[in-house]
Amino acid sequence: MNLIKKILIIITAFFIFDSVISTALLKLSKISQIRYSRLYYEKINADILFIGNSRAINTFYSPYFDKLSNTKSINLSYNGLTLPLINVFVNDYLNRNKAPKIIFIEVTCITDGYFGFPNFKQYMFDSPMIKKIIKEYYPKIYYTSIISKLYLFNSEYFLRTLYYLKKQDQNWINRYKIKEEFYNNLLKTNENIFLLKTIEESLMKMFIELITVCRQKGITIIPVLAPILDRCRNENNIDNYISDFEKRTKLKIINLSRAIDDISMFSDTVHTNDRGAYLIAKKLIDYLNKKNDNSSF
Amino acid sequence: MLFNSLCFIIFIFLFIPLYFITSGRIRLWICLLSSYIFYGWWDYRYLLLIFVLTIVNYYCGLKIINQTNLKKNPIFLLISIIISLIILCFFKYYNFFIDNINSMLFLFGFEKNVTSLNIILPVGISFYTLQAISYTIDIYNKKIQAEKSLLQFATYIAFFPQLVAGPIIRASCFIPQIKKDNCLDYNDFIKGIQLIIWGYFLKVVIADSLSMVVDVRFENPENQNSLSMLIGIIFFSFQVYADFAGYSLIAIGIARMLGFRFPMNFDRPFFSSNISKLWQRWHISLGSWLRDYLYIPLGGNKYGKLKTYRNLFITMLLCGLWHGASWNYVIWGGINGIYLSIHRFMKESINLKGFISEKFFILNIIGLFKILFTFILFSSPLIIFRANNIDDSLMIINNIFQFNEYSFSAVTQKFHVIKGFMLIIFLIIVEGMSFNQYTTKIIKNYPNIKLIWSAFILGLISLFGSFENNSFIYFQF
Repeated sequence: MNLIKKILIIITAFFIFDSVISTALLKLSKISQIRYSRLYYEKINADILFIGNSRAINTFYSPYFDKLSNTKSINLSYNGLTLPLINVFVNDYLNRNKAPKIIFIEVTCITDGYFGFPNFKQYMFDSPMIKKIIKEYYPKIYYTSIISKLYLFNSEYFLRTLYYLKKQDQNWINRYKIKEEFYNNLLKTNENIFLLKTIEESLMKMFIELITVCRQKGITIIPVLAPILDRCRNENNIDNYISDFEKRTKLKIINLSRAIDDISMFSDTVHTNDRGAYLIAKKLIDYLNKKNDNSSF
Repeated sequence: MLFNSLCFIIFIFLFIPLYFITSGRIRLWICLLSSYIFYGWWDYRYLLLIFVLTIVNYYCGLKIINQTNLKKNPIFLLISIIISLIILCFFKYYNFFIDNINSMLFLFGFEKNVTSLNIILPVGISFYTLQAISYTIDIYNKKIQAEKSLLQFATYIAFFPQLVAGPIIRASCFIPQIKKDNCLDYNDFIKGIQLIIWGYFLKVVIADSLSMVVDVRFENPENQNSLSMLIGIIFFSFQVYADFAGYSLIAIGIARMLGFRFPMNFDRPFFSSNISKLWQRWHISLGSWLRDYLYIPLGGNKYGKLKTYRNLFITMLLCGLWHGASWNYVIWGGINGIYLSIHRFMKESINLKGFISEKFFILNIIGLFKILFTFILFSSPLIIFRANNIDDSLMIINNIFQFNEYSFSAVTQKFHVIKGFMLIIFLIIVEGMSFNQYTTKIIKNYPNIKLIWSAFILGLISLFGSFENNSFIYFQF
């Protein structure tokens, strides 16, 4: 009896702690200025939406873009974001906000499948799509989250949620330069060559469905291939990827993979820094201006 | 089977009721078979090694005790030690030996022609081999009687809680306990649960969170700035502690639930005021094994100062080699051997007691400085311990001393780094509080506080734990 009583004390205290702290953490998540908290708990209504993985975070820098183009944009990219997640976030965005005019997608992420969802499990009860996918693909995580609400906040993303509690996350970008010594050593090995994978049929199908949804809402989707450091580019691989992508989607990629040769504009082999992002913002605005010479932008 | 896997949770939920509803030989059989299942889950073929070690040491133990005039005829002791060491050396050091032979041949202009073998290191071999060796040596030294029951001896060698990563339990501690039919003791059971919860916290929250930062830094040291690398080294010191102390606590906790009392394997080592004390409180079961079966047989401190330093150095060198078949570990052990020898020399030559008060007091500035200095001494050689090779170690050391690169803005994984520091501070506060008499008094007067504390730690595991079945560091040893 004594044993059962003691075990019950531990279990009861755990659930009280779990419930009280998770309620407080949910409140913090709701007031955070991080991108997806804004997506699920605020109206954004941007003109331009950027999305992709870490390459998109460091290529599409909203503050520069807004300043140079006088528009309102939002970057919904995140480290390791995959196409299924992009599909969820874009659809959830469109359900909650007025449709943007343009969506820029950095195409590197299209090659990856159902990864990364557990990082965003704190929105499981705000997004039926996230909930459904976590339940289907990550049942252990789903049921653990049902038992312990605290577990919903067990992620690297939640730490960022706390960090951006009172400040905007749109100025999140790498601000350091690649080390020259590291750059010089790149030629010694082929390990750092960045190779784009062929897009699986199921992912391509999902991407085309997303394009269709966006077109129905009058949104222009512009795929972009972000800069890659010269010593890490495989030109054949890039050309093959682009021609395959364009053939299958009937969309033209803005190929910026060779747009920057100055190594001080990179933070590592595949990520630009703030200086690189500034140049890219200018190039994208030039592209849009040329494209819309006869129409308003 | 990993302690932090779902499979193990199911295993333990099935094992505990079976253990308590049975008694005598049936219970022993359940313990033994469960231990074999636990070990065989990883690779059943390596169970053969445990069988061979068990049979050889059991037989030699019986033979030793039957002999008269022991000291003059240590044949069965030698047989048991040699066979145990052959098994250990073959699986752990064969390729290391061959690689070095090849390098030597190459150095003298010969072609590399000795081929290495594709050997997988059997999990836990370094631990159960030491346990087996200590058994026959203890019999030879008349510290214990040879165990007549093969079932009890086999259970001692294979008992699953400590089988794969220690603590290294002596036969004198374990076998008398297994002879008793332990009934379910509520206090032991709850104490065991509390130890397990804290052990899991150390592993899945602290060690695994820190490993995310450490792995990136040691895999690509050339692309890290000095501060980033320094953070990696500090984190690794705490990671290796939390990982191994966590495993030990889970092992001790499971044993405690079953009614076994195992000695603690770590005693808040980072609060030590000198390197000797730190080593006395770090991996205590290995430390005491090395002291009793290596340092003392080498002569210990009985034959003058120089020989004492030599013995300390050799002991730590072999301690390094025990950790792994690589020069990194040997050098790491050697450096710690030098530390211990220097500390002993200073202790004997300079009256430290008169110079600095040895009395430990947490708020004492000198005390804090000594703790910090000891931590730095301990952490520095861990660069060699953790780095992929000697070249990487040198690069990391060079990187740290590029003092112009101490900017936090270029530190990668900032969120994991901040989380890591917060967890380390939490660990230091919790361990530091246990020195405080006031805290101890409160816990004594209000025992339920410990239960609430365990619930709180469970909550932290849910909030910060990594549940990706990360292996324990000491499995590779």
